[in-house]
Amino acid sequence: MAKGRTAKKTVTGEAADAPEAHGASSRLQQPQPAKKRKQTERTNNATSNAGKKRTSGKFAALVTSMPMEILFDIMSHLTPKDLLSFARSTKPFRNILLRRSAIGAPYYRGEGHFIFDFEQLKEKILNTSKEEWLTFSDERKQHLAQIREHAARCEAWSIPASDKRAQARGDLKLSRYNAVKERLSELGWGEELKHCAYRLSQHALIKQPRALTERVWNNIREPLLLWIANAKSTRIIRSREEALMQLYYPLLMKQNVPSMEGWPTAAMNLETDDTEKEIFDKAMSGLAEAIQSWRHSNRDRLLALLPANTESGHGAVSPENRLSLATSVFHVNVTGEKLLHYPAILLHRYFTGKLVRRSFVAEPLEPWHSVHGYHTDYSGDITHDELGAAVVKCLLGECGLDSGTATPADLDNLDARFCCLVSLTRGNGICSLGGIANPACNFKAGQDYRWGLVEL
Amino acid sequence: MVNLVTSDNESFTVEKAVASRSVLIKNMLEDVGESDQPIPLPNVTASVLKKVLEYCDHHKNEPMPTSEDLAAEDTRKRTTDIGEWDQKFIQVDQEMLFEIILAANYLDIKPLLDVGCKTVANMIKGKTPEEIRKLFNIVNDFTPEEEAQIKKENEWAEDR
Repeated sequence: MAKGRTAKKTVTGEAADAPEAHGASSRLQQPQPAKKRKQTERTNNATSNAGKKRTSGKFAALVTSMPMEILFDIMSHLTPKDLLSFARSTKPFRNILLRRSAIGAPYYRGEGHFIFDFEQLKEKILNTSKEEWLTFSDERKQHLAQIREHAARCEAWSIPASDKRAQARGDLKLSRYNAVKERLSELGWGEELKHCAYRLSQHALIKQPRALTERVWNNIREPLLLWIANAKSTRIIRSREEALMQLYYPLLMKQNVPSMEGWPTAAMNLETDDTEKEIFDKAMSGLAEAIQSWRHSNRDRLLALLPANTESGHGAVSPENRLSLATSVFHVNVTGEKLLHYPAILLHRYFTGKLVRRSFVAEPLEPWHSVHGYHTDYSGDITHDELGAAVVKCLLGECGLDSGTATPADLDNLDARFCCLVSLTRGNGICSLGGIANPACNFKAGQDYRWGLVEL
Repeated sequence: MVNLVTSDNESFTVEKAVASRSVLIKNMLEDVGESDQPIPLPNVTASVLKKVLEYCDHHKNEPMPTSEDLAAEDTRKRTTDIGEWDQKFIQVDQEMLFEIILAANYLDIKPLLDVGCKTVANMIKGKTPEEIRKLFNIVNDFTPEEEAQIKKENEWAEDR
């Protein structure tokens, strides 16, 4: 056995990624306990708790999904001695490999080794002297050489034979598949077959090395028709979704398109032969209404942010008007953002952001799930700016405007310049409303802000 | 060109010949036909797919193993020899190695699955049980008594 060589190979393999592998060894080596658990569950429910505890590693889920056939694939490359070591490393491996019923379980295909019986060999070695063992060992080696020679001859015979069988089976499957295709075409499914030819060839009822007789066809006819009808409807929904996505995508990428309420989805009752334009028209017909409802819902959310009772004397102001007051200033909790008024704030990306995601195969086929607005819960990010409101109120006073009725437009029309009376030395100088309302001015709570109107 | 989208929503555009190393993708392409539609791979992350595509790219010009080849392989001798390039390619940390094996299994890339399994086998080869536990970070779950018993049972197999 080339023990030294293979061991060395492993070492070099490890050394290559040693720098990180050793630093993070506990992380990287997590998978194995989980792998073990899989076997534990399958082979022995009575494993100790210690074994189960270790399975909660970060990659446990990853390796738990390691199929058994992969494990067997790995084991098929090992020599008997390695298998023995492997079996002795933990109980579950031992249970898989060394139970009586498991002997030969990973059927053995290594370099000239053979399926072996540990128990029998053990009896032999315990009951013989050293000399006898050596003789026995020589005999076995000779015997093995004979077996190998014989095996090589058997193999030379069996490979062409099995190739031939495989060929015959393949031919039968192919003829069955072609026959079914022909029958389905006769029933009018020829066009649809172009879209699902491969899946049909993999269908359990088709993938059989048996010719298609009349009786067999009668048996599989109904399930196949059901299957292909199903395949067709799935395909149609998918292609509709694709068409809708192509329409929606450029629209949604524009900043000021509101929510998708009312837009058609692939699951809606569109006519099969609707052209793209018709789909588009249907989408557009509901758009005006959708915009309106979007605007109202956001207006109500902003209204809720305003302080309960700003001015005692102006109780009669309607909600819409209250939002439009110059003192109704909003602040978006993002660095560098200016104070915002309604309705300009609706153009902020918090309101207009869109997320477009393509759906995966297993997910419902509706653009509703694939394309949607962020619907961010911005309650924490957008606030009524009390300080800003106080500043604006002060400015309104300076200009002689009524803070209970003045709108941002009124202030803009004045085109006034202001000057901070408290901190002239701070370099703020003279600025317009926009300049004052900029957080760069560093309003601080509790500080007394007074602004003077500059006569131009 | 083929557009593949990973579970973490990254998309990869690769030549058809590269993507078709995966029997799964090859079959999907045959079904869908020529289409710009991206192929979702919900079981593969971007970092793993990148690695897998590297493998596919390197082997893109080799003939695809036919089903007859694979059937015959079961009866023929199997070795743990890995090609030089493949050996370099598969020198990754254990986590990535297992992810690649899973991805190769899911995407149905038999030669890559083989390289992965052989690599794990090579890691196990020639190691004592204790070394195997250390390699994979498995805790010894045998009690001292059981261990003594097993050691006794297996004495005959040592040094032969």
